[in-house]
This record gives sequence, C-alpha cells and structure tokens, in this order.
Amino acid sequence: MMTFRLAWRNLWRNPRRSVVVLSSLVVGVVAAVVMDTVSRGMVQQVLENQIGSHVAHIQIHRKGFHENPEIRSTVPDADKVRKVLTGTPGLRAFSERVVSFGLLSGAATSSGVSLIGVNPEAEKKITTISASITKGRQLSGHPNEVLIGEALAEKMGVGVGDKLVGMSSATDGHVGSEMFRVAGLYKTVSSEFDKSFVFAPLPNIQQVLTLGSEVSEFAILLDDRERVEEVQSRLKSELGGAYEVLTYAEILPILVMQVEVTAQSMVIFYAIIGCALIFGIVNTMLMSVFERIREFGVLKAVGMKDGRLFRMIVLEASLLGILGTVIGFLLGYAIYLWLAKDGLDLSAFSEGLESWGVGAVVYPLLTWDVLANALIVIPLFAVLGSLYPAYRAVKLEPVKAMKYV
Amino acid sequence: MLPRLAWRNIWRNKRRSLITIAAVTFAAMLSIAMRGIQLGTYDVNIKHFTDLFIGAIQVQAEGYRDNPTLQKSFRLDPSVENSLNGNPLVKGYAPRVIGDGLATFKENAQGAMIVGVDPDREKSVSTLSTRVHAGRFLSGSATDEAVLGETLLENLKASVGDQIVVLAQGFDGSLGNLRFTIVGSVRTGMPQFDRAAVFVGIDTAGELLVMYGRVQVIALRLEDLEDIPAVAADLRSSLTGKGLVVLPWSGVMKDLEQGIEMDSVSGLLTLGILIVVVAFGITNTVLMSVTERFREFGIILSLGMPQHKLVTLVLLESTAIIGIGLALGNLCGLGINAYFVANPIVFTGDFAEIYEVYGFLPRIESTLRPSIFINMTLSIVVVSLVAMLYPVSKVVRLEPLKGIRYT
Repeated sequence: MMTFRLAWRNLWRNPRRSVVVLSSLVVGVVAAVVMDTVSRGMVQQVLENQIGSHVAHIQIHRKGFHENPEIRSTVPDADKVRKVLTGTPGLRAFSERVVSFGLLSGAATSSGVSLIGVNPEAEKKITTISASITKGRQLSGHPNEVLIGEALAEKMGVGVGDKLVGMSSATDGHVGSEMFRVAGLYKTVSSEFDKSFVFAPLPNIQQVLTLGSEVSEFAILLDDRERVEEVQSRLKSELGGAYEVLTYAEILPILVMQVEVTAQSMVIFYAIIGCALIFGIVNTMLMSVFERIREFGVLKAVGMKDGRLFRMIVLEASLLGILGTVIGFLLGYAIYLWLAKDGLDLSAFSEGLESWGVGAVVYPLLTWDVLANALIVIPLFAVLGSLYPAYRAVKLEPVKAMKYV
Repeated sequence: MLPRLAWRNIWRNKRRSLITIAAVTFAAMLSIAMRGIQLGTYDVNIKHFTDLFIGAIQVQAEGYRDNPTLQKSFRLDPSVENSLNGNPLVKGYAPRVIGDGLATFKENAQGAMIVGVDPDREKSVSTLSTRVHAGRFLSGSATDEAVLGETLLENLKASVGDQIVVLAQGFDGSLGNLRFTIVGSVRTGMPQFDRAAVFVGIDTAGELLVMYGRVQVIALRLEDLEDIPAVAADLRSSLTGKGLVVLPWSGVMKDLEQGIEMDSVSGLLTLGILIVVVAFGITNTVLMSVTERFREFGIILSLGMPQHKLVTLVLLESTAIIGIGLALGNLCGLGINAYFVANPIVFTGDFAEIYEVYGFLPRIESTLRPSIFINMTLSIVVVSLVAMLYPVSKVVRLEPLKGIRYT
C-alpha cells in the first residue's frame, strides 16, 4: 500500500509530463475503441442482414440439397418436419419454401433469378422482406403475384402492377412458365440480393414446377441465436439421415469466418497502437528515473530493497497506463454511444457497401472482446514500457547514484 | 556554430535521443510500409480485373451501366472503329453483347449471363482465354460453342462435350433458344462470372438475342493505366453525339472502386492515429529536454544570446532527431516494400475465399511509388512540428532570470 501511495505521488511530482503521456494513451485508446467497435459492427451487420433477409437461423432440406439445389430434391416428408418443429422448444417461427432458379421476363428484358415460393404469412415472421417493401404491397396470398427487388425492377424497367413471365425447369424436365403481376417492390441493404431474389406464392410455384405439395426448404428462426447448435443436434436426431439440418454458420461459412478474422485483426491494430505508445512511455519513465537518481541512491542507502524499487517504478507506469486507458475507454464509450444512436453514415461508399450487403449506415458493436482488448492490451504495453527504466533504477549503486549530477 | 551546438546537445542525453529517433523511425517505417502494401495491393487488383475482362476503359451505350439491358446498345460502325483505331494508346478493343437467359441441361436449369465475345479480338484485350479450367476457349464468333463459368457447369451437372439449351429474350421481346456444345469452362475468380457466365461467339449471341449486329460494350486495353484520363478525354471528344459514354474501370466497377476507397480511408485513419500517438512522445521528449535546461538557457540568455537564436537551437535539435528518424524509417520502409514487391503474399484456402467474396484478389503486394514516401514523410513532419509548438513556445517566453532560478 505504501508503494502504491509513493508511486501515485511520484506521478504528480511532474504533472505536465504525466499529463502528456496520459493524453497519448487516451488518444490511442479512444481511437482503438472506435475503430474496433465500428469494424465489428460492420461485419456483424453483414451477417445479421443475411440472416434477417433470407437465411434465418436453421434450414432443413433433403440431404444434399445445399450442395446441389435441384428442383426435384424436395424435403422427403414435410408433414414429419412440421410435426417435429411444432414440438421443438425455443423456436420462434418457421416457414416453408420452394427454391428454384429461373428466368424472369418483362416486355423487353429478362433476368436470371432465384424464384422463391413462400407462404407470405409465415415468411413475415422469419425475414425482414415484408418490412422492406418500398412500393406496392406485400404478397397477399393471391396467386400469380410476385415481390421483386427495386434494383431488379429498375433493371427490367417494370413497376408495381406490370406483368412478368417466370420460367423455370419443372420436375419432369420441361420448362414451366407462368405469368405474374408485380405486387410490390422491396429493398434490402444488398443490391446483389435485390437483383436476384424474387418471391411468389408457394402454391403457385408448386403448380408451375409440378411439385404437388412438396417444398424444398424449411427456414427456422429461434428465440435465441446462441442456442442454434443445440437445436440443430436435436432436430438432426429427430429427423434422421434423410434430411440435412444446417445452421446459418454452415450456410454462410465465409461470413462467420469474416467475423472472426476481423476480431483477430483488431488485435494487430491494438499492438500497433501499443508499440507507438511504448516509445513515449519508455522515454518518460527513463527521464523520470534519471531525474531521481540521487533520490534512489539515498533510498537504497537507507535500505530500500531492489524488488520494492522495481515494483514502485513499474507501478508508476501501470497507474499511468490504467488511468489513461480508463479515461480513453470512457471517452471511446461516449463516442460509441453517440455513433450507436444513429449509426455512422457512410453513404459516400454506398455502392461498395451495398454490393457487400452492409448498408450505408454502420452501427458500431461493443463486445466483451473490445473491452478485453482495450482494458488489458494497452495497460500491458505501459507495464512493458516501464521494465527497462525500472531495471536501470535497480542497477544503480547507492554511492555512485548519490554523487550523480 | 548553432548546428554544432545542436548536434552536441542531442548526444548529451544519448538514450533519450535514441528512443525518440526510434519512435519516429517506427512511425515512418510502419506508415510507409502499410501505405505501400495498401496501394500496391490495390494496384494488382485493378490491373488484374482490368486485364481479366473489364478493360481499362469501356465504351458503352448511354444508360447501360445503370440499366444493363439489350436496348442500351449501339451499332459498331466504322466511325466508332476509326476513333478507337486512331488512338495510338489503345492497344486493343473488343465488342461484347451481354444478356440474361436460362441455361438448361437435362432437367437442371440455372440463370445465366450470356456473354457474346469475339475470341480473336478478346485475345488482345482480356486474359479471359487464359483462364480456361477445363477444355478450351471458343474458336470463333459464329460457332455453336459455349464456355461456361466453372460453378455454373458444376451446378448444371454438365461436363465438357455436353449440349445445353440457352433460353433468352431477344432485343424485340421475343423468346428464343439455341443449342450450344460446351467446349470448356473458365475460372475467373469473379463470382458473378463463375456462377453464371455462358461465353459464346458474339455473332451467335447476336442471333439468339436478336441484336442485328448491335453491341452494348466495347472494352479497351491500354498499355498503361496511367493513360486512362488522356485516352478517355480523346475518345469522349471523338465519340460525341453518338449516344455513347466512355467509362474508366472505376466507373464500370463502382463497387471495387468504393471498396478500395473505403479500405484506403480506414488505413489512413489508422496511420493518422499512429502518427498522433508518436507525436505526443515527441512533445514530451522536447518538453523534458527543454525544461531540464532552463537554468542553462537562462544563463545563456543573460550572457546576451538573442532569444531567437536559442529558439533556433531548440528547433534544430528536434528537427535533427526527427530527420534522422525519418531517414531511417524511410530506409526500413523501402526495404519492407521492396521485399513485398519481390515476394508478394498469396493466400490460399478459407482466407482466399473471403477475399474473393469481397471481390479482391487473395494477394498482398506492395509498391515503391515515390509519392508514398513523400506523403508519409511530410505528414510526420507536419504533425511533429505541431507537437513541438508547446515546448518551443516555452523557450520563446523564457525570461533569463526566471530561467536561472528554475528548479
């Protein structure tokens, strides 16, 4: 305790110097926290958007569908899946879909799309598409209506109420076609998604593709995303080997990995900031040690143990480090709260962001990792920076030190 | 006299000066290396994608970029060709027809992007024909051959030698279909091509899409991407009034350009933070070295040294330290950048996939462009000068008597 009080007082013997070091720490920590939360927010958002606009938490198909999404590869026994799902706890909602690839033609142009047959009421509980409608209305369940992306509508030069012909190869190999009317336009943050996903009523698509009442996909949303693996293994064991039960992480492996890679690359960022800080800390501590050589000489002459002297100097630097980090973190947190309120508007890069599915407004994300990085890494560098100065102080010979000028 | 004094002063406290030099060296080295690697990596990406298919410049029908339909097309008449042939910087050009269709093989159907190309002209513009993964590339413009993106071929469960039917809507709105023989597949690393592209001869594509010789895009190759502004300006003037637009690659691949821009801005922010943190260290060192010598300065001043000379002395000392640090940092940065130019890092596996998903090459390279060294050095100099303001202002205001009595 005595060492602590001594260290604290020593810091404020030269307040100007301590304040300058503190400021550098504060700047470093504020910058690190803001960069870290924004980057994490950005990649997390891509993942959330994908989950929210289509993928959901868990998907069930016939085994092999994910590798090779053929139209004939339908869920073996949809009734059984429905029964299992209704009996599974922790499920928020599920939706049945037919997934097919086809050509959508307007009066003048056509476009290759993923034609998804959905049940509008069930789908509404799973995805955000119905909340992203910009013109017209949601599918009402009437036959021969489609919901298309704004980007696709623009490309094809059609609007709400216009006619389109959808074509896709049916289960028997012939190309089925059907006329649809555009019920509404939607817009998600991903322009790629908007250009390629077209939604139509499920019975309609089943009929066009001669599927009867079969479906190709069950999309499931859980109450708690953390429990996705637990639910997956439960469903797997109940459904058996004829089905594949995939989590969003298996469907979007690259995105999930991207989240991890970003987290790891932030550690490098902290290390760079830490290295930049360490020079300042070494220099400051060295100066403060050499200023006090005579004093240390006296202390040692009257019997202060080396270990205690060493600890005192390291403690001085640690206090600086901790104080700077705490102030920096509080400031960074304030900036984070401010950014989190309305998001960080990056519309200058909107086209790049949209093609990656981020959206022009990025919301920072504060996780325990950020907290750990900021509150542990930076003070650690402060301690590292004090080791050499402390070593110099300990190595002094009392008599020489007292005579030092 | 002053420079000698300054030089001696620097080495009065060797350790402190060395640490400060090290800090500046670190900042300069890191910022030059990071910036070099960033810009170098952008350069290879841009070079790769322009060479692969996009071209350095594209001549498009007006409105095609925002709304790529068959209607946004034009006739490749002699006057257009003359303009292109007339510019010596244009090393080659290739017209293209691009439409959406449905590719079917047995009972499998996949959305397809029909790309009509002239194989002979393509050779002088794009490296597409060298990206053949299986089989071979197209042999002519008017054959029934098709080359498919690798993933599309897989998804159709077809293989080289099989016949596919491509269904598409033509220029006049009518639906047509043609049978093609798959002669090869390409792996481009651009997902939109690998997943959907059906490359066919431009004349056959024109027939399927009822284009009657109209094309939508002409891609141009230039020897040097630096020539883009000059060539674009020349073509814009010679092609006016034809309903055509001249777009550099950055206008064609807006997402790549903005991705680069955003990465570049976030990189600059990191460097800015790094330099500012180091600048605080400089403030502190100069402050310490000045206050330590207040008594000495007070005596010199009372002996009659003009104050401005004293200030110059302090400035000389700090500038020398920063200068040495910058010189060393530039050298180290040069070394690192030269190393990465000679030995680029190429990623494989999962990591490579992330890059491809985001439309970048899985490759890290650097560049020795002089502007990087100059810009980074200047930034550090400016920030350091700001960092020195406070300590130097203390010397400016120092009164001799106060200095002598300073403890």
